[in-house]
Amino acid sequence: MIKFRNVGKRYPNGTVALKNVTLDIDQGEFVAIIGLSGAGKSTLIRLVNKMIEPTSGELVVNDTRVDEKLNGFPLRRFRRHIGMVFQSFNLVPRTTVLKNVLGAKIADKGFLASILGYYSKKDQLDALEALHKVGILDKAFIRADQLSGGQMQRVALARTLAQDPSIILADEPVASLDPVTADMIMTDFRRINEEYKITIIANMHHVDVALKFVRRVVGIRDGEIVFDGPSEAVTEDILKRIYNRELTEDDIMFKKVEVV
Amino acid sequence: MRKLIALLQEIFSPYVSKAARTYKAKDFEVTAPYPITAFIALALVTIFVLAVEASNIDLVQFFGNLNNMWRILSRLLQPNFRFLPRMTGPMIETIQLSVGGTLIGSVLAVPVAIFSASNIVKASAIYGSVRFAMSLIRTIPVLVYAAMLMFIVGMGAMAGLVALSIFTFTIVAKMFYEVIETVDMAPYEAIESTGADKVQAFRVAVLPQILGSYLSIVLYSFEINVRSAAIIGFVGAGGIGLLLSDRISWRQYEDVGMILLVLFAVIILIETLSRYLRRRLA
Amino acid sequence: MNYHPEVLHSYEHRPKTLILKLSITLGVILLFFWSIPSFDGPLISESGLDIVTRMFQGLINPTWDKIFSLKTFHVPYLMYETVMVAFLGTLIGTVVATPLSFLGSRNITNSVIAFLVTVLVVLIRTMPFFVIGLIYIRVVGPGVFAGVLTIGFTSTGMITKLYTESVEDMDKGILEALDSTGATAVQKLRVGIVPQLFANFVSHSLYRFDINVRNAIILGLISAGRLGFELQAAIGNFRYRDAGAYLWGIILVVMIIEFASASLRKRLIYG
Ligand SMILES: Nc1ncnc2c1ncn2[C@@H]1O[C@H](COP(=O)(O)OP(=O)(O)OP(=O)(O)O)[C@@H](O)[C@H]1O
Ligand SMILES: [Mg+2]
Repeated sequence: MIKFRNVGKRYPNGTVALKNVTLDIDQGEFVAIIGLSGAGKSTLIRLVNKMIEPTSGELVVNDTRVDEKLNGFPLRRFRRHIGMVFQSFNLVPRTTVLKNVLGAKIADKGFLASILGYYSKKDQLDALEALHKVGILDKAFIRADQLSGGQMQRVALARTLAQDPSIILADEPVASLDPVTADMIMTDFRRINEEYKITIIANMHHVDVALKFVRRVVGIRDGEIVFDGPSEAVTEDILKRIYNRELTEDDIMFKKVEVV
Repeated sequence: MRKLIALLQEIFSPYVSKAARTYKAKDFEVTAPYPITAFIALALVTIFVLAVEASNIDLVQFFGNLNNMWRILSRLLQPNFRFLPRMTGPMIETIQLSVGGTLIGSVLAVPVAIFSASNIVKASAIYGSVRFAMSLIRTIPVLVYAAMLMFIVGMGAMAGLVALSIFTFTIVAKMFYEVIETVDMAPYEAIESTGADKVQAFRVAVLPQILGSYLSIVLYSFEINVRSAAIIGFVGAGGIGLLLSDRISWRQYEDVGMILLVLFAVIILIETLSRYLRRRLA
Repeated sequence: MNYHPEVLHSYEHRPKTLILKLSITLGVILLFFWSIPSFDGPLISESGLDIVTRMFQGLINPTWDKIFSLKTFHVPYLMYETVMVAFLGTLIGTVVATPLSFLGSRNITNSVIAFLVTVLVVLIRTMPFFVIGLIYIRVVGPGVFAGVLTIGFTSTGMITKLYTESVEDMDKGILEALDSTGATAVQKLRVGIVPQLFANFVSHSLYRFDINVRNAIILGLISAGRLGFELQAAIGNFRYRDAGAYLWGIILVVMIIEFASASLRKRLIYG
């Protein structure tokens, strides 16, 4: 359960990225956040695991208050079960796929095991199982920088799954993929959401991708929520309100927008 | 006299006034760039004259004693193979010193390199002062360290080991932090987001990116260390240099030739091996 | 938890690197113990520790008179002399290396000559620096002149190597174009070769100049230079404040020249 109450974020340089955001997300929901570039989507998502600190309001994630007092070990413990997936995949190059997935387990290790990079048999089996869940077990022992974009994002997804997360935050997870691959990755997301009841919040640049795969859509404009509802309820008018203009080709990934 | 002044004016006016460098035609004008080459040439000639004066050049003595040099060289070219057994010990010690200095220095360099990298340590006061201190230590040549250590730890291999360790420490720290700064920090952030602390995130996300370069830097400094270790004995700090300087002062140039021959082979062998490994690591 | 059979299968067939890693670790540890010279007693004696303390005190409070006086053989003069020795040595190296590098370039001469030049370069580069120094001392006696000759000789190797690389990288298209217009050899040199190579050559020589300043200092340790010699003598005679002054001289001259050489080279390469 994620609860935003009048949350605001002002960056040190004075930019107000979010104002007065109030939002409730239940366990197991799949939410897409759409909006123009600079609207504050990344800011919103990064508040959830405190990669960014809120400057006003109240944010509670799984009964933990996310504020300036959450630091050090409690913060790290809090983050363990929140996964994160990025637009540029953020895999570690020059090392194997399996080592990348095992990276999600390092937070549980003591100092010596961390330094030596020692992982138990269970860790390794869990990591391989995570790779199996996203269908690229056969790439486990290959160097991560030799994969295609879609494969890399699957490894990133497996890394998150190896965390055994209750929430996955995805910042434009398919924006740098081609439409066919994007479709497959989004299908993976939806399956993971349904099978394991993991909450997924995904920033989406492309409206049509969001509408096709996600049940609930949140639209932000200039740091404020201007729409929150099921994807079936999204109309041309609402899109115009979120985007403040007609949709352009840039906002669409597949050939045609599937709106009612 | 007046002619001379006019000539001087002609020569120097482009240096003084912009107008003198400007060529005006009816509908356009060009200004030539400042004639800086003349200054550079003048400066070089001046430095040359000063340098010749400062370095007590004595060509008469040089050419007078040149046959001396040929004699030495021709004796160097007739190496005394019977000297071989006496030099194996010092030769091995030379390699030991370079290995030991490389290992100690490059391990100590790791934390310093991390504290010099601006993408890991965000506070510019910290990495700035670490870098500055390191650049001070780095200015002093390894042989000067060896010569000073003579007085501190005494004659022998230990002084050489410490000197080579210091040298390796400074050069590896510098080259390694430059590598660390080119690292892609996005994976580091990704691992931090899983709840890992900074050390863990560094181990998982940064180390694999830099390990190969680190080993390559270590091998490179090993190559340099072998050469330094060969001459470090001249100031008394162990290795083959001690024997070399001894043989030179006894004017046993055939022995010197033998040492040089073996040294040559060893250096080439080590360099070839090290370069092969470095190519594999790249 | 139950794992999928394929997962168990790939776990069984994972590449096993533990033994390799362990043996590399063990190898490095053994290499380390092999390489450490044996010593009895503490690494550093009480008197050694005392010298270290005094040297640091000397560094913090050096003989200021020697640093701020322009008298001959005081620190600024020694720095100046060091730079001058390095300058002349680099000049000798440059003058000798220029023709050698053309002879050593595979795209200019035939491969036999080029090979001989390469061998010569390798020989010069592996000759220990101090051996050359002591031979020159035999020829012209101790002093900075021997230092100039040593630096000139040893620079030749590296400068030739660097120049050769530049010559081999040279764009020959221009030369062919000039050939077709019937240009003479001198014209080809002036229009086709010099402009291409000049900046590179200067930059290589500046690089070596930086190294040569350090070498001019350490040549003092075998009486073929003065800064290193004075430092050694000061420590030997327990004049630690003087030693501090000379050390600051070394630090300053190396830093200044390193900075100057690097920024000039940057200017040369990026315009
Ligand atoms: N670290 C920062 N410091 C200052 N301002 C920032 C910072 N990060 C983001 N901003 C600003 O905050 C606003 C919201 O940025 P955010 O990255 O959340 O937008 P976004 O919706 O994710 O956009 P995009 O689609 O381009 O990723 C923008 O105006 C941005 O310039
Ligand atoms: Mg964004």
